[in-house]
Amino acid sequence: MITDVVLYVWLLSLCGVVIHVFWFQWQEAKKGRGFFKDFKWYEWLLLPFLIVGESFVWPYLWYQHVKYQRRKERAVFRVEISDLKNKLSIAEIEEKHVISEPLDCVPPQPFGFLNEAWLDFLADANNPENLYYFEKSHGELSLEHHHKGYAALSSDNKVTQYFIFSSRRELCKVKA
Amino acid sequence: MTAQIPETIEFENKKQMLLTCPLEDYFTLGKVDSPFNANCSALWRGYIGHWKIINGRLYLISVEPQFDEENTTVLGDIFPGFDNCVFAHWYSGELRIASGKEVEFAHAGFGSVYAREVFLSVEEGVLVSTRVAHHK
Repeated sequence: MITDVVLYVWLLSLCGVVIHVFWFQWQEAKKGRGFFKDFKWYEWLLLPFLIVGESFVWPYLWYQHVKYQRRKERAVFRVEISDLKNKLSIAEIEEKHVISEPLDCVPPQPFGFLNEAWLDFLADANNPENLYYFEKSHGELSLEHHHKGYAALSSDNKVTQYFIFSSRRELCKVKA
Repeated sequence: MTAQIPETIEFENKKQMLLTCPLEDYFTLGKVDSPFNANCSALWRGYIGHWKIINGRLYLISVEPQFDEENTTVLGDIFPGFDNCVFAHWYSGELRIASGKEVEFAHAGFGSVYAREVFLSVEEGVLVSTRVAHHK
């Protein structure tokens, strides 16, 4: 946001400088001096178009810049409070995610081969009491990821850490 | 990206090309660094994984490092205690299995089109549905 304001002020100043230079040169030209002194009548007609055109160009560039920044922000995956579903205890989660499989090709621990990542998540979140299940879709270029996981909520209602145990990747649907 | 060498999968009692890399999801979700090196532009992931569908479940049977003589990584190095078979419970998504003639070549990733393509929808390692596409 600060970058946007700085860019806006900078472009506004630039526009001001351009208008000022034209105004000054016009005054000089009336006295038979300066850059525009040899300007023909049709060249004078062009000037307002240039000034007006320029004042349309910079807001457009600014708009494009803001749009690009927002797209970049959207590309970063974040878990928000609005994504959280139901609250569960560590014991409930671990019981729910012990993977049963007939060939014994998975460790008998919560989240199977992702158990270490789960334990790291709990350690990073300081064994939290406020754990919530979440599901969130997140677009990245032409792909959409449907993430499922658990998030830790701090006492001041902020998502501090999250753990993803399932991430389904699909091509984004093209709007008709 | 250069056309990529596929994984293999044993499905419908035959070994076929798998144009999906479920092990990459394990590295991402498990926050595990891949032990493989990208030494060839035709195999950026640096390995070929061999997969199998057994009783409607997806299993990783072995991994082979490629274009890297010093790399001796085997399945048990990535999944300690599981040397021959790993249930891919971390994987959800579509598996694209190709067989038959290559009807359209694309020099980009797994972009080529094959005469018969089977799409298996997998949810946390379990096969949910199957769709077959024929191309001419």
